[in-house]
Amino acid sequence: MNPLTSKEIHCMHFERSEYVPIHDATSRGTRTRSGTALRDDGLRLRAMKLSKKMRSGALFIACICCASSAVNLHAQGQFAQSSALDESDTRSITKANFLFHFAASNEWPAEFMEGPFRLAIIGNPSLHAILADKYAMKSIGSQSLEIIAFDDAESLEKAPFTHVIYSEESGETLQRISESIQDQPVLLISDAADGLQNGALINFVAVNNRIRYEINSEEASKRDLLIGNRILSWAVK
Amino acid sequence: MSAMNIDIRSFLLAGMLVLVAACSSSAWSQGEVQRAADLGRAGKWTEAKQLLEPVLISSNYQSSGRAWFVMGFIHKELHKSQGEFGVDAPERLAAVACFQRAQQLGLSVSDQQMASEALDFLSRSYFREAIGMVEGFTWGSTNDIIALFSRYEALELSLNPNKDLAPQRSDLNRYLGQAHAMLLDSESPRTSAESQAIFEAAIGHYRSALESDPGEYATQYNLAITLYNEGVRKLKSIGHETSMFELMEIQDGCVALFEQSLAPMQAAHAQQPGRLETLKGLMTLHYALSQKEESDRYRARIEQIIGDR
Repeated sequence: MNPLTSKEIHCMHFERSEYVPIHDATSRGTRTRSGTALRDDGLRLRAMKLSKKMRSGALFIACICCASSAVNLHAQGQFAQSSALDESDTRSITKANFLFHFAASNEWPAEFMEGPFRLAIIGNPSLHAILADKYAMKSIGSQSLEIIAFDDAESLEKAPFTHVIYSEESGETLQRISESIQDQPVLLISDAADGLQNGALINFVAVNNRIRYEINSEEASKRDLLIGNRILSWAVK
Repeated sequence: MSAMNIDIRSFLLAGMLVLVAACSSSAWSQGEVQRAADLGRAGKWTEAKQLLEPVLISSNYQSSGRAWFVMGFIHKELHKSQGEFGVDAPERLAAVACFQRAQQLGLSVSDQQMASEALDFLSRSYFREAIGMVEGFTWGSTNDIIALFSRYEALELSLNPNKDLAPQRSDLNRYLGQAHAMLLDSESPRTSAESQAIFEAAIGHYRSALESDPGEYATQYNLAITLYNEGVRKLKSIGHETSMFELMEIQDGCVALFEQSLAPMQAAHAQQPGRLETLKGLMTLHYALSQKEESDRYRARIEQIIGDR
């Protein structure tokens, strides 16, 4: 689960954009704001949001004596803190892309290649949202892709046949899901250390900071599922 | 003897004539300088320029510091009133040249002081303009910005050879990095080659900023964010037509960017360990790198800080 989806963390206020200091060549004084420490020469231009409104705050004090002038100038420049952190759920984006390939590159028995192609996500709303956003209007072969979200494994029992199920459950819960679809050509996918042991056919694993996957081809064959060569060739196990 | 007396008298007469001519010319021209200054006081800078320009061409006034000094102010005020901009703004360039020449030729103490202040003003006008261009940054304006800043640097160093301008150059580079990063975030249509060039420019500016100021928190943080966001952008570019091979390749590229992002984010965190934005950055980065335990560690730290508030 993306840590950013944590309610507390998502809602908390970060002290972004507090300041970005610059050594101000346009002022002679030392100014402070929000307790930010100033650097050595005291010449700095406070950096804030790139807004024209604030830019209008630039103040020029010019003193012109006779034909000459000695100008003291105070200016404020406005700079935004750099781009905000992109809070997209990167792992879910990657998984969503894999799931689409798993749906598109494997083969189901002929009787299951009619009607809608159902792909269910259990317990990961972020992944479901990404899949729905990116792939909801796509098709798998001649079948239209239906992306379904379930809050928990129990909800799955009442659902119609689902070609692909992704669950982040592990242990006994994952095993129960596996048992509930026993002998059916359902591609159960997990992201758990014990995923394959508990009945998943494909399990996401982390390898060198990357998301990869392992496959239980034997179990897939028992369920009449033909894992495509492209999928097999990239599996780590 | 008589002939010699005549020669001496002729010589003395000729000398006197030259002296009188020179004095009257000088007095005339000094009068022009004063009149030009008076016109300037009255705000008639164009008339002042028209009056003084021909005088400065005459050989008598090539060496008059005061005349160049007054001309410097005329150019400076014309520069201001005309709202000139750009590294080659002619009035500003002329003003700088006049003041520098006046100082070389010699000025009274008070004029010398005013000339220095005027040059300082002009120098800072280059700086302001460079910063203004960063604020309204457009792709392709970097060279102009750097040129303006270089003019500022050159003038500042001519006024104060010992001045350390490295921190300001570092700040400028950081701002340029931010400007490029903001451009990347904007939704303007551009080719992937352009996007890549903008991204590389952003990173290049941040790295340049860090060379002269490695301890700058904002630069480290912004560099980390730009690298990370670029990785996310690449990840989001994957579509239903992306092949499995391409997917793996893109993921490798993204992970490489996330990994590169980690060091500057950690450096920023080391400087301000209690700052939530870097803690959140580290939590997110480790999550993206599938390092759940590390991510959870930073998450727990964030929750602890929030709980303590």
